[in-house]
Amino acid sequence: MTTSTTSQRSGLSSTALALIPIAIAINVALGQLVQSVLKLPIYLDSIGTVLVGVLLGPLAGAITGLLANVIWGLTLAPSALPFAAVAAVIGLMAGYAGQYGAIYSWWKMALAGVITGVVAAAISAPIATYVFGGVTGAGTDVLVAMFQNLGASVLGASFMQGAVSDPLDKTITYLIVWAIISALPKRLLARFGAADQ
Amino acid sequence: MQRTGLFIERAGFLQRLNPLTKVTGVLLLIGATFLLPAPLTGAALLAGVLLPLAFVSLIGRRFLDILLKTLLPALISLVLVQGLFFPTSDPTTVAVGPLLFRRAGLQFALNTGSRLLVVAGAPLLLFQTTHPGTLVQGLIQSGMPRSIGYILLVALQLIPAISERAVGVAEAQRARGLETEGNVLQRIRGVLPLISPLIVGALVEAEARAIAIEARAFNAPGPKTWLRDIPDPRAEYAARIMMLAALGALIVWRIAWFFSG
Amino acid sequence: MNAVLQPYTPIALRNVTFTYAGATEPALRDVTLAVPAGQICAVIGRAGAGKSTLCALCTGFVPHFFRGRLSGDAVVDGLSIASHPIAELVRHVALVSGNAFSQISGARFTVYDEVAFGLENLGVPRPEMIERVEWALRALGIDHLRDRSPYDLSGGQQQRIVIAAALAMRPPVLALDEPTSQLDPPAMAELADVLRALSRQGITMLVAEHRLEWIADLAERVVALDRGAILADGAPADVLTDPRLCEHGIGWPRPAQMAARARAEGRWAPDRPLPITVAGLAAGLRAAASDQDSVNGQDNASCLPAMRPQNELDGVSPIDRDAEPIVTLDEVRFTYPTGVAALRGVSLTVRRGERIALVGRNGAGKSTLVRHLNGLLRPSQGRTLVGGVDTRTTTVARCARHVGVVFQDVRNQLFARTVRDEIRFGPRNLGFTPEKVHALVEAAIDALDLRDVVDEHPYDLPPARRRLVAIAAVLAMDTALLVLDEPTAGLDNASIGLLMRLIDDLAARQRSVLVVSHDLDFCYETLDRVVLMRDGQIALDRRFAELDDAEMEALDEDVGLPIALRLRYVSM
Repeated sequence: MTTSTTSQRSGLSSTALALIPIAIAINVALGQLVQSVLKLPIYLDSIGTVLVGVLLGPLAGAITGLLANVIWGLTLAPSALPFAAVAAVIGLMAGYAGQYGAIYSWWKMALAGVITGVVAAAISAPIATYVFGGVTGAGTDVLVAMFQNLGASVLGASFMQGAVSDPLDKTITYLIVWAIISALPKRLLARFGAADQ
Repeated sequence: MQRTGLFIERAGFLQRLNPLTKVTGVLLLIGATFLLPAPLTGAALLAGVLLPLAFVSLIGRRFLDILLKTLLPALISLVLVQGLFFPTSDPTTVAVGPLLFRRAGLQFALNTGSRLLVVAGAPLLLFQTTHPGTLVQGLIQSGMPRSIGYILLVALQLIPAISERAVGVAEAQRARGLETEGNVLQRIRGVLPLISPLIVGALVEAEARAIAIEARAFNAPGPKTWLRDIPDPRAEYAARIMMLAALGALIVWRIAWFFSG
Repeated sequence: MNAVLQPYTPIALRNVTFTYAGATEPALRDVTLAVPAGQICAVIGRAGAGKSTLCALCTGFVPHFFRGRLSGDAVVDGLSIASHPIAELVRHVALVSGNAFSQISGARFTVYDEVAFGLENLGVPRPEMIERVEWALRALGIDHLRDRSPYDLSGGQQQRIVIAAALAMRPPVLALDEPTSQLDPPAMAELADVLRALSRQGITMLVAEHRLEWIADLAERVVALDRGAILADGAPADVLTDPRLCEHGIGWPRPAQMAARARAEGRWAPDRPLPITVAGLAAGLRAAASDQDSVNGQDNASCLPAMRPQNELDGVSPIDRDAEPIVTLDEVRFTYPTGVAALRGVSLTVRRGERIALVGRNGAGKSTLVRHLNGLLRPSQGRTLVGGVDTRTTTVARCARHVGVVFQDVRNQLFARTVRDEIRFGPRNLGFTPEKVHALVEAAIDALDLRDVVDEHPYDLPPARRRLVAIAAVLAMDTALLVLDEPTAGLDNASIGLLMRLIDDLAARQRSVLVVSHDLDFCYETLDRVVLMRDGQIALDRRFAELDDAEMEALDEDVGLPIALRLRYVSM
């Protein structure tokens, strides 16, 4: 329907260039809103990343995730920087989910959420182990202690902790993105290129 | 949250350096903590390099403040979880009050904790002493894609506005009778009405911003110019080469040590 | 310019027709338009008439960004639009829209750097860049803001930054698409001054706008569009009083409407042309009055146009002290966590059947007051009763049964898949029976004339109708008080008429309406009581019909006066 010029170096269209920063800001804003207004025990801090991945593909998704973590490091806690790789892979996975047409049914999106969650857990475990010693200071550290007490290694316990909590958060995130995108007006979908995928 | 992130405007030592010099320094410090034996290296780098630099850059207190605030929960958790539950065959324990800590676990916590302070502290010092605009310009001038820099700077400046809009959405929907103060089920029902307007608004906004990007000729072909110069004295260039050489030497030494050991 | 040569025509369109990809009807039909250098040419028309498309075409965004089928010749500053990329066209023509916030690149931290951003991208050498930025800042009168963050400034200042950033690229042509849509009256006046100054420097301007009074003051030429085709083209005084404008739903500027009504009542000379400015209206009324004075000695007050037929016929009844109060604010003080004292002792009672205008400068405390009306904010001191209940002891969702609020930014509200679902959300939240929800939803759809689009997505509608959807969605909650924040922003005359009828209808059914607005004419024509806020306090609380000279002066100083009152107050 519409086009825009593309930057030669990164391969991002001006539409992607415009959407990605907003998506990053949404990650941060929603992370706060869901906690402060609804007081629900979920993070939902990768909705923007999954949205961009599903709409604009793996590259844009990966860039969104990566830079969202850099922004998190720049503004709040530089200790978040090592996990940028995890966020990038979440965006990448969302991009592939989008390319395989997962957006057209809720259960495919839920499945993509579970898979993304497991992969995210697998990548964050070594980072958490070697940089943070397996813990992050969040409530989920109790799970790490439990798994280690049951005989798991630091790496193993860190992965198991992630495998318990990440798929749930990511499945909810994917389902929310599904609900929002399937209710989008056609005109907007056409601009972001998902209508004819 | 201020639009320049963690940056604090002061006329100190690090603030005068070229951002690339500081980025190279961060890489060297992080490399050293992983390549040299912990916990001595971490402690030495924190006390001998990061803290003095923070103080000559006139941000000593703010540096310690953020460093501790962001790491304290993780450090406490580290001591408790790994001190008490570290998987080890070493039976030695240390009693602290009613708690029986495993010696190997405490050693692990000490090693990791000292390293973590440098891994988080070095970039913190970089961000606190470097204006994000300068940092991004420096990185672009040494090869980072312009679009990546654009995304970083815009995202940084948009966060306050988007947060404000998130509050506006919550107000508008509560004014329509959306119960956000009820039980868990009622609050879950509120997720979509609260998130959806933000996302749809973002997509509409993105369309308008895409036009703005084109209107400012962001993707125009040809060489670019910069309004501002970032000073880069010869001495700093030399310092960067030396730091990179040191990092290379450390890696080589570590590999050699690995094969000989 | 050499008179022998063909005169230079910055905008030259010949038989241009454009159809958006995927659309069945063309957005522009056979448009031929030649705008000479330095002219301010206004483009008017209803929502969806093709104004924005015309602006996008003259700047190359049609067809290079918004794709579609283009035929005919479009040449701007000597360049064929179809065969040049946007990156090249920006040196020749710039597009500025009303939403300044979205057009700030955000990639730079100060106004000065922001204005330079486009020049960096074009590779302009630094000395020239500095010279151009300095020139653009001075031309727009924002030199003093150079070190501020663009995001810390008001809408009007942001608008000027965006224009400066565009002008720094030195285009001789500027296309402005609804530039006033987010500006308050003082900022609109300032923008008009800036545009006039640019025109004197030889810059050619195409200004798409629906605020006809503003256009009447500014433009040297007016082009009216109707469904993509040119309906009228000529001098403002001729086009803006052309009867076809009314036939096609565009309407006339207020002075022309008022003069026409005066003519029908014999208070305007039949041979005198209709005015498009307030000055013209005042002069004409004065002339007619002095003619009549010489005949039958009527006093000046009689030449007041009867703008409020219903209200004036009702007579000025005192405020009904016995009517049931819906909301009561009792000595309310409110201080934000940042330390800003936004309300400093406000007492206000809204009773059944009242129609209230809440006015005041930006920052006077209007938004904070509105957020107290439904408990979104709770007083720091004093108390607010909504439906008889203290807001401190209840939830916003419960207050929503008594008070419905439509906020200015409708994007924050709309989320459903269809217009009908959107309207249904509120009444369902309130727990009405399905039958009642159905009846309320259908009534709201009809009240805002949305029957033809009930199954469409709200975002597939033009922005003006989106606002009507947002109003319908709150109207359907059937609250005793309906609060509308800047409801006329972005609406064309036809939609404003719809809103006026809705408010009259609500009052007839003993529902109350409180409107926050900078549009004093709308307030005066539609509402009874005016509450003026100043520095967190109520400076004035009167019925429009009871305002004395001192009160009118106070109102004039802060927010201006409606035209009808201005004619009376500025003695004739």
